[in-house]
This record gives sequence, C-alpha cells and structure tokens, in this order.
Amino acid sequence: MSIGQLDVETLCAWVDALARAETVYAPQARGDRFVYDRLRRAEDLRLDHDVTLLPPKKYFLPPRERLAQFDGTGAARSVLDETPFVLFGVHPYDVAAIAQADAYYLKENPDAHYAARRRGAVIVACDVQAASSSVFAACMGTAVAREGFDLLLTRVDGAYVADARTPAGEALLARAGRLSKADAVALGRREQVWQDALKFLRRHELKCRPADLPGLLTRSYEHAAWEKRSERCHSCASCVLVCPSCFCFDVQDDTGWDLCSGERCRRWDACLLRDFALVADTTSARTAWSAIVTASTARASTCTTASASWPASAADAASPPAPRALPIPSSSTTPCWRTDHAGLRLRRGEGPLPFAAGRPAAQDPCHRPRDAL
Amino acid sequence: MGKPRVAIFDFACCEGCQLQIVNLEEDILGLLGLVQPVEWREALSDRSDEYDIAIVEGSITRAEDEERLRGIRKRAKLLIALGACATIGGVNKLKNACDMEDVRRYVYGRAAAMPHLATEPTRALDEVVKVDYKIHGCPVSRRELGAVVRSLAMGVEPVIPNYPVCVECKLRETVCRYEYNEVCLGVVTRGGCNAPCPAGGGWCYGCRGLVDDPNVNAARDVMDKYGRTPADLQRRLALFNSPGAVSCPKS
Amino acid sequence: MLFEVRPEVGRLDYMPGQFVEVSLPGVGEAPISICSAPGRGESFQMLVRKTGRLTAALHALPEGARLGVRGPYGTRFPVGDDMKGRDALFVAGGIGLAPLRSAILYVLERRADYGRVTILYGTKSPAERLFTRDLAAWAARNDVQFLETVDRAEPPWTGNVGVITTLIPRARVDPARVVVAACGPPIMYKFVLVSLHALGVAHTQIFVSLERRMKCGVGKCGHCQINGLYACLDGPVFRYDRIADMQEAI
Repeated sequence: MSIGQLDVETLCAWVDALARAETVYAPQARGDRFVYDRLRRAEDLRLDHDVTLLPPKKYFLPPRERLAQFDGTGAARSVLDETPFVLFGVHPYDVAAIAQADAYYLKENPDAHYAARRRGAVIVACDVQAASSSVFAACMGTAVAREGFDLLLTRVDGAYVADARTPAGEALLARAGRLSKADAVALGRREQVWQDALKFLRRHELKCRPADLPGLLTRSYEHAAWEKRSERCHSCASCVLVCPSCFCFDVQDDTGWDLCSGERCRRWDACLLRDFALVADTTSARTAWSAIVTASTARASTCTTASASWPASAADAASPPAPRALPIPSSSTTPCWRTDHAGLRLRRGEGPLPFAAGRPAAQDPCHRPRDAL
Repeated sequence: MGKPRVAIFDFACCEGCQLQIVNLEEDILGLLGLVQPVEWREALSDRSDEYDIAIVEGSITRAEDEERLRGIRKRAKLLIALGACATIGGVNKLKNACDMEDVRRYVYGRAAAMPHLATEPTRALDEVVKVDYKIHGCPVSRRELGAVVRSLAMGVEPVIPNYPVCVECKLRETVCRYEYNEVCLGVVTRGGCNAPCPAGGGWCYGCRGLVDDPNVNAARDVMDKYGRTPADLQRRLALFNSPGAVSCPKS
Repeated sequence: MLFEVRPEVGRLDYMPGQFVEVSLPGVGEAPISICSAPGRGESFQMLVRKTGRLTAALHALPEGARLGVRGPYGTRFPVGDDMKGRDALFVAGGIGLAPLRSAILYVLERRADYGRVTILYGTKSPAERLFTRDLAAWAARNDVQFLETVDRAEPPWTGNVGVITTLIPRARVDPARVVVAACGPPIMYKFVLVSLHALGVAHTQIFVSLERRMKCGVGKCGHCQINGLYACLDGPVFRYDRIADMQEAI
C-alpha cells in the first residue's frame, strides 16, 4: 500500500472533491465545540479538533435507529442502511473504539444493522494535533493507531503524510491526484509524532497495565469507591452515552394510528439509568428481587407464528471487515507538532504539551478554517 | 366493540395542553378513528356523563374542583392527567409558598372577597384521586400524546420515560448548559421531551417533573462544581416542582 | 396462560431451558421460556404470565393470531449430557416450573436413560399450582418421586405446607450421583443451595436458570449482563459453580 505526502492545497482540493461526490462525516466546529457532522466543503474540516461531543460510534450505531417496519397487515421488514460513507479525521483512540465495537457487534451473532453500516464505511484516521484537556489515550495504549483504519493522515511540517492501509483507503487516496512521495525525512518526522503522542497524550496516569484492569475491577466489586461514586451519581448516564466504547441499546415499537403499521426502533441505552435492568414485573434485577411467582392458571390457546426474523437475523449479516496488515513505522527525527499550546499543564512537571489544546472560538466570525489544516 | 368514549376536562390551567390535541392537525383524524370524544369543552358543544376515559388538564385549587374531579374519577374507567398542571401541579403550585389570602388579594385586588374567587393550595390530580397515566410536559408533546393514546387503544401500557433530560441532550449533542454557567434542571427532570429547551440555548425548566428518586447529593455536587448553590437550583425548581421555597410579592 | 405456537414455515428445534423472543408488531418483544417437551419441532408451548406490555397484549390475542418468534436462544438444562445415566433432581418454584417442565418431560420420555428421578415443586398457595394434569401424572408414576408443597394452605389442600426446602430431606438423593436442575425465584435458590450443599451435592452438579431483562437475546443490547456474563448467551441456565462467587447472580 502506498504512502504519499499531501500539501494543504492538495488536501483541500481532495477533501472538497470527496465531500461533493461522497457522504463524508468529519469533525467540524459547532459553537465552541467540535462535532462529527456531514462535511460539505474542506474549509469546514477541523483536523485540529481536540475531542468531539459524541464519538463516531453514532455513524455505526445511531442514537436512534429504525430496525424494522411493519405494514398494515403486520408483516415485518428489516431496515438496513447500506449507504456508503467516509468517516474522515478519526483520532486513534476512536479508531480503537470502533475496533472494539466491531468485535462486539460483528463477531458472535453479528448485528445486521451495524454490519450494513460498517461494510459501507471507509475510515480515514488522523493523528492527534490538539490534545483534549483530559486525554488519557496514551496510558491505555490508544494514542497511536496501528490498525482499524483504511487511511491514516499525519500532519508533518505543515503537510500531511497519507498512509493507505487497505484497497479502500488506496482508492480514496488515488483521488487526491498529484501525490508526492513521502520521503525519509517526512516519515521520520511522522515517527516522532507518534513518539510524542505516546509520551504526551496522557493527562491521567494509570497505575497498572490496561490489561490488568478487568481483573482489578472484578476483584474490586465491593470496594468502597463504588458506594462513594454512587452517592454522587445522577444516574443521568451522560458518561455512558458519550463513551466511545459503550454500546447498550433499548428497543421499542411505535405504531401508526391504524395500530398495525409501525416501526421497531432502537435507541442508545445505558446501564447507569435506573430502569436499565428492570424486568417485566418491575423489579430491577440489581435491587432486591421479588419473587416471579404469581402464577396464572394454565389454559390453552393456539397461535401460529411467522418464522419471523426481525430485527434481521444473524444470517443476514455480513462477515466482519478483514483484518488489516500492520506496517511498522521506522526511524525518528525531530517533533513536528504545532506548538501554539494554550499553556495547559501536565502532571509530573513534564512541561507543556507539544499539542495545541484546540477549541473552536465561540461562533468566531473571523475563523479562518485553512489554519485548521 | 365500539370505540372508547373519551371526555376531556380542564381545571386550573391555560388549556394549552388541550390545544395540543386540537393541534394534532391531520393526526386528529387518526385519533378520532380510535376514540370517540363525548365531552370536550374546547372543541365540542356536546356534553356527556357516559365515558370510559377521562383526560384531565389542570390542577386542583378549590374545594368544588376537588368534588368535580372525584365525580369524574367515579365515572371514568381510566383517568389520564394531561400536562404539568395535572401531573405535578406545575406553575400553579408557585402560590403554595404564600398565604392564600395574600394570593387572592394580589391577583384579584378589590374583587378578592368575591366567593367564587376562593382559593386553596394547589394540588396535582394524583394528590386528590388515583391517576392511571400521566402525560407530562408544559405543554404536552403531541408525539407522546399520540403514542400514549395508541398504546391504550392496543391495550398495552404506554412507555413513559424515567430517565433525566441529560440523556436526550447527549443524544442530540447539546453541550451541557452548566458549561455555560446556566442552572439547568435537566439532571433531575424526567426526559421524553427530546430536550428542546437546552438545545435552543435555554435550560430545562423541569416541566415534566422529577425522575423517580432523583439524587440530591449529586445535585449538590454539580452546584458545587460550577460554583452555584442548592438555593439556585431550588429557585429554578420552584417554577414547576415545588410547593414552597419562593418568596411571594406582597400586594 | 398457555400458548401453543406453530411455525408457519420450517420448524423450531430447541432443548429444555431455552427461550424464544416473542414479538408483536407495534407492541414489542419479550423473552419467553419454552415449556413443552423438545423434539416435536412443528409446535411448542409457552406459559405466559401477564406482567408487562408484550405479555398483556399476548393475553388479549385471539386463537390463531400471528406472532413473531426469534430463537431459540440460550443455554439448556443438561438433560442430554451431564444428567444422562445419573439421578435427576428437579426443583421448581412457582412459575419456574415452566422451563423445568420441558426438561422433566424430556427425561420422562427417555426414562430408562436416567437413574432415580425426583421432582420437587413449591408454590405460594394451592391456587397457584401450574400444569395440574402433569403434576397428577407425575405423582401417579412409580418410577418418579414427586413431592410438592405450598407456603400457605387453603382448603381443600391436604398436602405438605412449608417452603420447598422442607422437601429436600425427603428426596431420595444420592449426592454423588445426582444432577440438579432448578428454576424459581432467587430467594428459593438461596435456601435450596444451602440444603443441597448440606447434603453434599457439588456445585458442578447443580444447574439453575436465572431471569434477567433479556431484550435482544443475542448478547448485544447489554440489559441482561451479570458481571461479565450475558444471561441470554451464557445462560439462562448456568452450572452453579460458574456463578457461585459472582455478585448479583443470585
């Protein structure tokens, strides 16, 4: 697969062409924050975003999604959204989260609705240029993406190294036209970008290895910390809903006024909401269980069943995307980060980040988007 | 089986929630396909004491209201509270912190002594009679109103959310209003409205009432974090959710 | 209410302990355990108590109505493997008899493959006894030990009174040979497990069925998680040693 170099002019022309021809979702400013949204033109693209309000999971598992439609006769039809799209500018930790969602939704009992969206997605990752004030990616090993994307962009000396890792990424990059070869210097600088990311994208430290976390959590089930946390928890589930790696959902039906036609929808749900584990007799499985015994007298009735498979059965689902090869980056030279940091402090006296702490200025009319690239 | 007979009544309120029913526009034909209105002051000239479902708007502020509501409850198989005044007392409860005589004089001036202007502390419907279902909001959402009616027509329990408004702000990517130094009631208020107020740049007024079992400690923490006090929260809560805690202007 | 469900096309093969996701368009979906003996394929039975949106709508259905079924899902009682050639002890509390009935019928259809068969059944009151014709048939068999009890007696009940654990000492159980299948409310498990432990029955010989809010049935929606396990995938039937130390399981 090829590695090329794009100057900002070429990048903009390429993104503009993509935005015209394809459905492109990318980080953009909304008010004084960043969101992933439909990209219409290159000048709205903010590759210098720090963190977005919602992670890109919303394009694979939308906050609200129609799973099936019922017609007036009660017959059901699965709804699959197979519109292809380009997800542009994804940070490495979000790439890791998408890989986690893939493992969850595509491996055992693949989810047809997720798979349909995932199949049509081309992921253009982008190394972090502006650090979120609470970034902890490096301590979780997700500051640099090694796999899980089709194309990786890294800002190096005012230009971008574009690294295609899959045929889809290759095809996308080919549309950039005149692509100069990334020379050894640029690749060396990119390596330095990665080294810096590993070093600096850690505003929080983990006092153990990430792999130890599951075991620690299991053993800490009765830890006083949970009680303390729960005293201060609103059960508003905000933490779970914005989390890139939380994937629970609820399914509900609604009908038209004929009470026959209608739809089955799923919506993000969260284990921190009070009713999450509620069973039909309205006792939560997590609080005291009341007996499920209020037996009714058995009497016979006959029903026939449609051999229904909605939401779409596992059989409808496609196989997960193929694993990707992992070229190991080599050599290292001097850092090439933008240095217009906003004076954020690191713990342990490591000095300021070589990352811009980016936030869009609040509805700044003088915003010059080109500077963002 | 005939269509269920529905009667719509109002007590102390602005009748805005009934107006939401009228405003269903083309959906009203769907509604009329499922139920037969037999009494509805805002839209019908007919009256009837024979009905299956009573939809009641407004809160109870007078002795005769209470008596009338009890009569409605007796005749109806199902009683639905429509809108904040009916479900939680709503704005009408603001006066509960005041002396009733003061309230009367303040509102009606010289006419205050007229017997039909008597007033009592405001009560939500379920403080007087059993309420089967609540359609929350000020005003109620037409979408939710339709969903509740359709569920009942199918003979199944309507789904009334019991999660805070924060959930819906997250789903629609509204930045938390506390980040902009607002005191927002979304953290303790029942969602289901799709959080239009914070999205529009305001804050949640709490018109759908509190979630079951809101966490007071957490609310206190949020206030601390953003340099506000529980009193700030109380003041905002009073608009829809408090029987007291506000000072009343003297006439 | 007992439902007999016939697939319009194909067949539905299942094993005791498994459940199906039953759905009605516009109303929703709910997990319901299968209570008939497996192997018929052309139809199955489920016992449905009116507890929520979907079950209420099911109760209102006319005979011959169509409904949507996904499944079968979940793990099974070990009637076809661990229990084979061993003594079988079934412990059912209240509506927990429904999934166990499937296992009991399976075993009784292949009676010669098992050692002693013991069925213990407890309900709150005589009026709540389910599948009374089956109960009578089991009581009449001389190759089955069938014991039942009610928490509160009402005339004309003349049988045992007391919680289900009072039956355990009377069960002819060889702790070394027995395999237990239990289904009932969590409170029942708590006491039954203590009694079985006292008898010397190993955790690996006990299988329990747990109820959780299973929604999707395929380990995706997250609602039925018990720590790291999904009740819909790893359960609902669990070998007790796998959940014995797990918080919130029972």
